[in-house]
Order: sequence, then C-alpha cells, then structure tokens
Amino acid sequence: MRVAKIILITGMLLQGLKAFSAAGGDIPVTNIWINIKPVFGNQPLVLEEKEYINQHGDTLKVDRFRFYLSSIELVYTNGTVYSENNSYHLVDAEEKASLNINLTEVPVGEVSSIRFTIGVDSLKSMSGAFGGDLDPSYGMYWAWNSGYIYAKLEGRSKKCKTHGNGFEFHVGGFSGAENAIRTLELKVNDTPTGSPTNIISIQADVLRWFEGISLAEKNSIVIPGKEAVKLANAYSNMFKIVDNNEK
Amino acid sequence: MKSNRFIPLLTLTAFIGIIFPSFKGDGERTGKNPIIKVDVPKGWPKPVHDFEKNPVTAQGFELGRKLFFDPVLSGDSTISCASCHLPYTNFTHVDHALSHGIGGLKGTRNTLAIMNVAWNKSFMWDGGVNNIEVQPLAPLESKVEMHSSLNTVLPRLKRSAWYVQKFKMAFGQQTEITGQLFLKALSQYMLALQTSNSKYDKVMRKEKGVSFTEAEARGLELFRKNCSSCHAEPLFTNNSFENNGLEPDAFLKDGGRIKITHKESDSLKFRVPSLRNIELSYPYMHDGRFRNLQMVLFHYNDDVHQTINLSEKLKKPMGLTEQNKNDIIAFLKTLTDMDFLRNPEFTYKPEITK
Repeated sequence: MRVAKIILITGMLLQGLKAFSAAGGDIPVTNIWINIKPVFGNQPLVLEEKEYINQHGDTLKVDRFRFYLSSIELVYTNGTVYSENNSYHLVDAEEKASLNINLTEVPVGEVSSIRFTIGVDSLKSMSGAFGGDLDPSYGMYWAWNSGYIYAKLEGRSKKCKTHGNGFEFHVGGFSGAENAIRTLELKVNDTPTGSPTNIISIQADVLRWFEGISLAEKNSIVIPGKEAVKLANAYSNMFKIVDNNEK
Repeated sequence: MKSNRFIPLLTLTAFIGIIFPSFKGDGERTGKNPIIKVDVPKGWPKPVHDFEKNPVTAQGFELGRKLFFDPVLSGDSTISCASCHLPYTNFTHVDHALSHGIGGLKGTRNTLAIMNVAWNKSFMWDGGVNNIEVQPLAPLESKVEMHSSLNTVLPRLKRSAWYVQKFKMAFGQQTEITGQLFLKALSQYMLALQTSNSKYDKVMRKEKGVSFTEAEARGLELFRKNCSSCHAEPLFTNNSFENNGLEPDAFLKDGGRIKITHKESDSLKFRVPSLRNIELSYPYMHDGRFRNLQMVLFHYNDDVHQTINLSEKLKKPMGLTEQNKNDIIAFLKTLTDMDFLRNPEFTYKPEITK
C-alpha cells in the first residue's frame, strides 16, 4: 500500500507532472524501475565463487543465472492496466545493468500489483530473428529446435558426476503440454516499508529451482518437455516483492 | 552503382522468363538498396514467408550471399554454408550420403537442398527449425558442421571493414553488426533462391515449342497417381512429415521428427522434401542411402518396410512395372531447372574483404 502511494507521489514530484494524451484526458506519467535482486535462500547470489547448500543438502556453486522477463504490466487499484510496449528483458545475474528495468511513461497512480511473464511468447519464438534483448546471440536461443530458452541456471556440485561436476538447466518450450511459459502476478501493496522511490524490488531466489530436483539424480535438463515444465513450475515461485533496501 | 548489379539478370528475365528477381517500383529502383521482389508464379500458393514485413533487398541479398560462401562462419574458418550446399547441384552436397563438416566430422543426415524456401513451413529433416531467419543457427552451432556460434562469428565480422560497410549498406548507416542482422542477411539470400523454370514449369505454362516426351507424359500420369499425395505440385512437397518405409538404420538410430515433438506418433517420420532438381541432388533420403533414382523407385515399389507410423499412402503396393518406373524417372528429370542451377547471381563472387 505504501509503495503504491509512493509511486504516485514521487512520480508527480520527479516528473513534474509530465503528461501525455490519453483517452479521457491528459494523465501524468512517470518513470519506474524494476529492480531484480538475485539471491540464494537468504543470501545474495554471488556467481562462481560462493558455495550454497540447497534443500536436499547438496553443496553447489552457481555460474550462470539468466531469464527472460517479458510482457510487464502494472495493475492499478482503479482497475486500469499499464502494459509496456515490446516488453522483453533479458535478466542476467552477471550483467548488473540488466537487473534494473526502466519503465518509461508509466501513468501515475496507485499500483496494486505487477504482472509479468517468465519466458518469451510463442509468436515471437516462431517469427524469425529479433534484435535487442531477443537477439539470438545471447545464448538464450535453441538452434536445432527453434525457440527461446526462457531461463537458464548453470553451476557445479560434487553431487554431479559430470565433467567439471557441472549441472545445466535450460528451460523453454511452448507446444501443448510442453509449454513452459509462466505468467505471474505479485501484489505490490503487500510490500514492506521502502524508501521513497519509484522502485519495485523483486527478489529472484535460485534456491526455489531445486524444489523436486536432486543434483545427484539430475544434472542436465536442456530440452523442452516434462522435466522443463516441472522446473518452470518450481522457479515460478522464486519471485517475491521485497523492501528496496533489503539486500 | 551496386543497384545495377541485377540489371543484366533483368534482361535475362525478359528473355527466358526467370521470375527472380525484378524490382518493385521505379521509386525504389533508383535507391541504393532496392527491394527485390520475389514473385509468386501463377498457380503457386502464397509464400509462407511474409515478404511485405521482411523484404529481400539488393544489398541484403548480396551480403547474405557473401556470408553464405564465407568459411569465417565456422569455428576454425574452414567450412562455409556452401561447403555442403553447392549452388550447381541444387544447393545440396552432391554424391555425399552424409556430409563432412569441421575437422572432417560426419553428420547423421543428408544435406537438404535450399530452394523455394519461402514456401517452407519448417526446416530441417525433423522440422525443428520454424523460421528461415533462424535456420542458419542450426548448422552454425552443430559440433559436426560449423562448430561455431554467433558470438564466434560476430566479432570476426566486426573486425572486417568490408563487412562493417556492407551491413550499413544493407541495413542503414547506423547499423551495428548484430546476430539479428547477420541472420536476416543470410535469410534474404536464401529466400531469393527460387526455382520455377524447369521443363515441367514451361509445359505447365504452355510455352511454345515445349512439350513432354511420351515417356515423360506417362511418367507425370503415374506420378500423380502414386507420388503426388505427398510430393504435391507445384512445389512437389506438401510440407508434411511421413515415415516412407525405409528400413531403420541400426547405426544412426534416427527417429526423425519425434526428436522435436516427443510424440510416439512422429517416430520415424521425416520431412517430405521437394523433388525439384532431384536429378542433380543425389544421393536420396534423409540419410542419403540411395545413390540414384532407380533405387528410390525400387524402394517405393518393392521394398517398403512395415514399421511404426508407416504412411497410409504407402500401405498399398504401387505395382509399378519397370517401364512405369523408367517413365516416372523421365518425368522427374523434367523438374531440372538449369536457369536456377546456373544462375550467376546465386554463386560465389570474389570480393576484396580484407
């Protein structure tokens, strides 16, 4: 509730009521940042170096953590919805800039929830080569079975009897029962107190990926299918709105 | 200057009726990067590729052609697209059942032809690729083909002043070389590879002085009765996937389309390929097991294996005589389009690239 009001007030202050024309008259607009905070359980995520222990007691390190956050929408308490145009963002724990998503020209108002998709819609996955965050050169596109990799988690654990003890989970797929696209809605007004900014902070907890996956049994899921769907269901629970100051 | 490159071909078009390429309008003709209009021959279905949204331009085509023939795309700069897709033989690897890629490594499937791809609903023998623009990623990343990646190739291209300039000419002065534009350039070249001027086409168009021999005419009749339910005119494919009754190869263990769909009902199914220019694209089948058309006809008439998901269309024996088979082969040879296979615009042009 507080954050929602904060958006309203600071939006007016910072943007000086910059307005754009919409049906029903001029609505003041503002900038909003979505800040993604990658964590592992209750610790910040440090790639490659830090060791973590998951819910199965597996000790592991995380080397890569990336996902597509797309189709961002803000739902207002008055029932209106803001949808970002061409909304495709590649979030990469390695790329600090990718952890801050800037939404521009967002109508000022009381936001009750944020909706977004983890993955890329099937239409985009079937319509050729795209640029920006969707450029196939980011290692998030399957060459032999066209389509985007929606989320990628790679790392190492002694539990994996593989070269370099590596594990790799690449989730994607959009056909029928293999559809791994997940759309989520998080309530913004459940947010703990935050500093007065236009930031919505979302925690992404890698630990949740391992629900139902033991590294001793499974170290590689790299094609669409039942296992990828299971992973998508698990990581759908990794997001949580947090206080902006929370590390 | 560069836009004049296609004018000799235009003259040729007028002469012998090659459809590709012609210019869209006078306004664009004078530009530096005119749109090449890929025509839909009379009686052909609408292309799957949307040329309005993603047109082929003269500069995009030229850049794509250069990339197609450039071994810099492969990990060790030894293999180009054209290593396996040779223009003179229907853009396939003639006389190679399975092709050798980087380091002499062999793949598991026969090289597919590249022609009339604007009408393809999917690509590869298993249909795993869903759009021509992303098709080049498959051979690029295959460990036995080019063993490369966009992240390997793009820095190489960015170091070449020639490529930097060509990308700007094709996509605008502000252009940086990106994965998207690299793929779009290659696809523009491939989309322009249209074959529609074989003897068959000329007879269908009722061109003066062109007619089937008796054997070819009998062959067409037999073809329509026995083959065209899958190899449908005028593209000579229905874009579907079928199990055509080949004995499964115990070494390759290739299940075909099931690899993509994970459905048992797709086990042993492979793409129905177009038969255009089939005379020159031997050997045949997804694993290149048949060296000539006689062996292909023997298979369909005398040696269909009753395996899972066998095409309904092959369950009844064809009952062809030796004469029938020879007639069908005579007809298939009328699908050879020498104007396409020898089109100088489609082949390698030496350029100074530095």
